[in-house]
Amino acid sequence: MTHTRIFDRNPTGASIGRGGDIEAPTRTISDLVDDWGHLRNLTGILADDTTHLQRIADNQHTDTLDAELRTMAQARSKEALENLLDRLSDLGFSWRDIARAVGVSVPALRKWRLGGTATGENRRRVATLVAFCDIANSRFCISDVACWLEAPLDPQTPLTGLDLMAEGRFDLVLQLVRDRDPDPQAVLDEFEPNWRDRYSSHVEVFTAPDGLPGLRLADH
Amino acid sequence: MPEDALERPDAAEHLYLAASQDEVPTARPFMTGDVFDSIAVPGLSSAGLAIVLTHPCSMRADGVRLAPRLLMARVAPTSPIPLSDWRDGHFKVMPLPELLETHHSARFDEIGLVESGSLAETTRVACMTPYGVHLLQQRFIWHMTRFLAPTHRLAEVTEAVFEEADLQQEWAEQSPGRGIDPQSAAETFHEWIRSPDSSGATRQDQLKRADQRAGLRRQMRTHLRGRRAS
Repeated sequence: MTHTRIFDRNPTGASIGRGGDIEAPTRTISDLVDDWGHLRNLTGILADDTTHLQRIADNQHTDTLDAELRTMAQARSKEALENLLDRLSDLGFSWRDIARAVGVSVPALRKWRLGGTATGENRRRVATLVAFCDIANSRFCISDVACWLEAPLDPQTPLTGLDLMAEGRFDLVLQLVRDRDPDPQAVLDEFEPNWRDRYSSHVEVFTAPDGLPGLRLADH
Repeated sequence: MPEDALERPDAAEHLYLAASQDEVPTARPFMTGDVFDSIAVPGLSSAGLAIVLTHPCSMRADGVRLAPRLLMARVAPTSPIPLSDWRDGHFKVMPLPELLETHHSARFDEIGLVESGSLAETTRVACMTPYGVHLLQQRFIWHMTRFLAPTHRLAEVTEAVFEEADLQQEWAEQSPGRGIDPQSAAETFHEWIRSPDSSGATRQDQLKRADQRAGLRRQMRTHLRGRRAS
């Protein structure tokens, strides 16, 4: 006797795949095509629903992370500017990179380090960088944030997380830091759509006979 | 398309670490792109502003003392050159907008070897960012060879040297007894940077790797704090 497992054609959500073992009439290949086609449609709908939900959760996560960054930055901005700069220094940032990420000149940053005052907006920018480092470390377990931010995002480009920050795209850096399996190329596409063309090169770096780096035409 | 034109900065301020003498960090070692006043370039008629063209890797033979002679180009006031015009012309010069609060250019057809002993901190009036130096190099290479070297590749070659210059500047500024002889500070720094840390690799070699620079900065800052405390 042949036992065939069939699927309920009018399932409730909980009954999918719960067809009992019954004695079935002889089934044709056409019946199987119908069954599997039906199941394929159902799983497709579930997948679409899941993708939709995932997109909503993704947007909500982005928005709440951004709100957390702004809240933490506001709290940090009440601290002395000298303390904020000391914190970034302790994390291992270069002064040039801090100036770039904050959007001020190196001489301006130097004046702050020597006790000069900053505008409220510039203080907020420094505080935002510190707050980002706090979040990256405490929430996403990035132990060396400075190193992470100054590393190229993709082997095909020198662009780094600090470059994104310098253009005010903290949202993209947050996207990279929060994803377990981030897609830097997608982030770069949003940041600078022509980055592949811009950084493709017929020139490559090599080690010259004196041990120092040099440039030469790449052997394409 | 990539590499079909010379590059340009988005803003003049991206060119300079210091665009006037009062901004120049006196503890910074002399580097490519530094502008000095009162420089007599051999073969040119009178003394004036000049910019260092010597490659960053060739500025010092032993890491501390300057090479005996440095290649320099005359810097002269010019009418403004819009940033948008950098790509398609002015190939004989490196525009230096907003230098000393006005517009200048470094002239590649007025260059010569200058005795490094004639360079003094008191006459250094500007320093360029690494990006500014890479634009300077790109235009000079173009002028000399008509070869277009992308700045991001030029950066790969020299970034460790600029990182070291940054650290040396910070070392001199943060060393106990600020105001000590710059040569002495440079020597102690080089002793430290050339020595290995607990990993066995010299710190200078670690600077060549982007993923080790932040750690090395932390290490140096901790070291300097320890020296100040003792």
